[in-house]
Amino acid sequence: MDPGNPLPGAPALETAAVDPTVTPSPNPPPTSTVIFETTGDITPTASLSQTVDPITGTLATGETEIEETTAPDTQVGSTSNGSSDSSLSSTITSTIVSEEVEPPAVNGIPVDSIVVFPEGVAENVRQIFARGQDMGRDPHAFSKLGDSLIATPSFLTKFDVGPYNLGPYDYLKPTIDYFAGSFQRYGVALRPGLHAWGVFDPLWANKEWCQPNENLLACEFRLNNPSVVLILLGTNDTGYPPGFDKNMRQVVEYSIENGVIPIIVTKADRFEGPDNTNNNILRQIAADYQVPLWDFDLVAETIPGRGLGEDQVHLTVFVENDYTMPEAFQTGTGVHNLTGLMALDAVRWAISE
Amino acid sequence: MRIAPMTLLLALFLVACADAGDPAETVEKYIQAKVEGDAIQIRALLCSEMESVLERESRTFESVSGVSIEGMDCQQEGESSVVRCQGKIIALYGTEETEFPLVSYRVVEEDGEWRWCGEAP
Repeated sequence: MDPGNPLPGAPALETAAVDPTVTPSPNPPPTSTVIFETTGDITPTASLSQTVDPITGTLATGETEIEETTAPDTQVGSTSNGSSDSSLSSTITSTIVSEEVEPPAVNGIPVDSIVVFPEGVAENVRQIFARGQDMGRDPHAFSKLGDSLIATPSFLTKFDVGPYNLGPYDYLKPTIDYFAGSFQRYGVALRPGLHAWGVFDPLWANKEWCQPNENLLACEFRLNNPSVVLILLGTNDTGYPPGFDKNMRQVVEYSIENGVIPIIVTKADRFEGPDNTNNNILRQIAADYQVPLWDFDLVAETIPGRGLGEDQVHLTVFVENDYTMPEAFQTGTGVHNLTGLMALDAVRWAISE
Repeated sequence: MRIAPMTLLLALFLVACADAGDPAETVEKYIQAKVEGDAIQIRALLCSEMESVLERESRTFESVSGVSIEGMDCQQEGESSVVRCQGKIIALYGTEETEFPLVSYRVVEEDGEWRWCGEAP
């Protein structure tokens, strides 16, 4: 059996058409970079106001000239004696030469707050990816490492098997194409009850697929040869935060050493206690190692009941996968899958640069 | 009092030939200790080359709501250092059961005792 396919025991899913030759879209990344070319004097009083449609978030297009004369009696930029500086009267000719639009937020939370991906992380991601390519990693494959929260067909699979409707998030479609096949893949690194301690314990490895003394993460990397791994752990790591911290760091280091970009995912539950200890550990680890953080916990605040079902651990399910429906943003898996796709999208852009 | 050199040699000989126990029994005890999170017993049965994973081995089933061993039966393979086990560990996480099949394990003799030393190739 092809180990790239879902394993026996995994939910039966259709096989999606996979084109491994698909390359990233040449479209610009959905960031909010606006570059101005300026002529004339620019002083601290010169404010460049942009007209943005409050509904669509789009800027006026084309070449725009802005002529602005600063009033001589303005307090902003006044000299220390209170007199105004005549040089403050300036003419600014600005030409918008590049225009990119902020991607739509999720329940009012900006994407760059949910997917924490500053330039330092992007640079590190590129380095890990380059190392992985030298090792022969598949640039189009990602793996999943985690517990029952993601050991379910509700997690990402519909982006492979459909149907789905991204609605206003259609800009993410090239990322679905890029990682085609990985969304529905179950793999050997998903186990209900898995905790960070268990990742390197061969006991947890699938005995049908993994070699003696091989842990499940090494086994998954060997079978799937990914460039990216989504890591969702912490719910079952209760009672001993230093152990969780230590083992998660080991997971991240192992991934980096093996040329696999780790995406650390925070969780919606408070299973370990009300102080959110494990999520804070995860955020610190992401910052320390300069790896992507998919901060689902942050956006879970905007979902009724934090997107959790009756057991206060597993996510409420959104079946339709249609992001034109309000329900998509009111259920755990609806927001989870969308923001997970955003995390993968950020990685795709970083490694495509 | 003079202890005859022959007596001393005999004592050393007896220590060297002392029965190190049953390797299969060692493995069964180890698996039981792991399920119970008995760090003291795990330490006593773990081989020296795996001492660095003592904490991991002790905490494997720390967060479970229930764990049991079903049908454990371990046998040494001939005179080899391999013990083959049948059966499984069943752990309950909330309402979800996860099964861990028992496999073949390696044992080594250290200080006159058999020690569990990971899975056998």
